[in-house]
Order: sequence, then C-alpha cells, then structure tokens
Amino acid sequence: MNSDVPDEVDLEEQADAVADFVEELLGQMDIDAIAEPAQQGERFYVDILEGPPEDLALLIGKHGQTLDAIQELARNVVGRRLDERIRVLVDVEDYRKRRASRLEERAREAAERALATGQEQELEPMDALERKIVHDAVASIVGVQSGSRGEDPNRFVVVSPAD
Amino acid sequence: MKELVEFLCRELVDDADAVRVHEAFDERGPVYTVTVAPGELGKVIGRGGRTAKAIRTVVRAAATRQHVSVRVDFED
Repeated sequence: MNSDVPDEVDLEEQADAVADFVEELLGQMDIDAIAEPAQQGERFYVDILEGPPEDLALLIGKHGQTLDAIQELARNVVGRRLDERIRVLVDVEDYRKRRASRLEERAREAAERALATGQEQELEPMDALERKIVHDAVASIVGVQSGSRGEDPNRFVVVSPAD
Repeated sequence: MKELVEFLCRELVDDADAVRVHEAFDERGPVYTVTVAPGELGKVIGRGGRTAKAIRTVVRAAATRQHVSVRVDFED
C-alpha cells in the first residue's frame, strides 16, 4: 500500500475508479441511477444521482448507514484494484453535504439561544460523526462551548455559554 | 441477490474463482453462505467485521426492494 499523500491527479483517478465500481454495484442491485465523480474544494467524491427517489433513499439508509456501507466497500474494492489507500467519499444527491450544513445550522441556532438566554441548550441524539460536525461549528462561535452527554445511541450535544 | 453477494465477495479476495455462495431458504427468507479460498476469509470479514457488516447492509438494502429479508453468513 502506498502511504504517501496522493496528489490531485491521483485523487481524480481514484474518484473515476470509485464511480466505476459504484455503477457496477448499482447495476448488481438493479438500481437505475448514475455515479458521477465530483470535486468540492480539495475533496473528491462520487455522487449517486438521477435514480427514482425511493431507491436513492434506500441507498442512503437509516442515518446514512447504507451509504456508509457502500463507501466502505468502494474504498476496499478500489483500494485493491489500484493498490492505493482510497480517500474518495461516496454521496447520494449530496446527502452528506446537506446533512453537514443542516447540522451546522442547528449548532448556530443553539449557540444563539445559549447566548441570548444564558442557559445550556440540549440538541437531539446524534451519532459520533454528527456530533463532531456540531462541536466543530460551535468551536468557531465566540462565547459558547459544547460537550456531549448520555450514552450512544442517545448521546447528544449540549451547547452552553462559555465559562 | 446471490449474484450481488458473489460480485462483492469476488472483488474482495485474490482468488475470485474460489468464491462460492450457497443459497438456502429458511422460514424468514433466503440465507447465503459464503466460502472463500483458505486464508482469505479475513478479506471478506474485514477488521472488526467491518467489511462483512457492509456486505450485509448493502445486500439487505437491495433485498428490501424485493420485499424479502436476507441473511449472509461467512464460513471457513
């Protein structure tokens, strides 16, 4: 395995190879959708598009778990094909991107309420990745801090005025 | 569904031709039992069972469209 950080050309090649694999997988699953390599800033990802909405929802799964499984298999298989560590994400109609911006919005709202009321704000239960997005968003706002409480799968973020 | 299990497992091992998927049915639906070449089971199971879990998740999602519940087992 090549442990060097891949440059942009390698990542573009990885994204093409991941898109090829995902299209094969969609064919095997009998789902009529396309997989398209895409780039956002320095990140390369493969977006699954243009399928029937109920099939795209199925590919995302509960809390994105089917999408995570597809990405795990894609990285594994394409990693074997290219003999490289694969850094490309797989998304469905920008679900990950939209989920991240929705969580950042929730974090901002909670921070504003915490600042306005001086009271801590509890958010709904989230998985570790979702909580991380919220913690990162809160960390960029002056005057508030965040922590987590409870046990998975009911662990949630608390946003409070900074000490 | 059997073809999907075969496709994924063949892509994950060195000896693709040694992959066998046996299909059986119990009261809950189809059960697929995967066998691979000696020494290659770890490649379809993955670290901490990650790969096996991903295979099961994807196969279950595909089966949902046909309104069946499936099981995938891996055997030495």
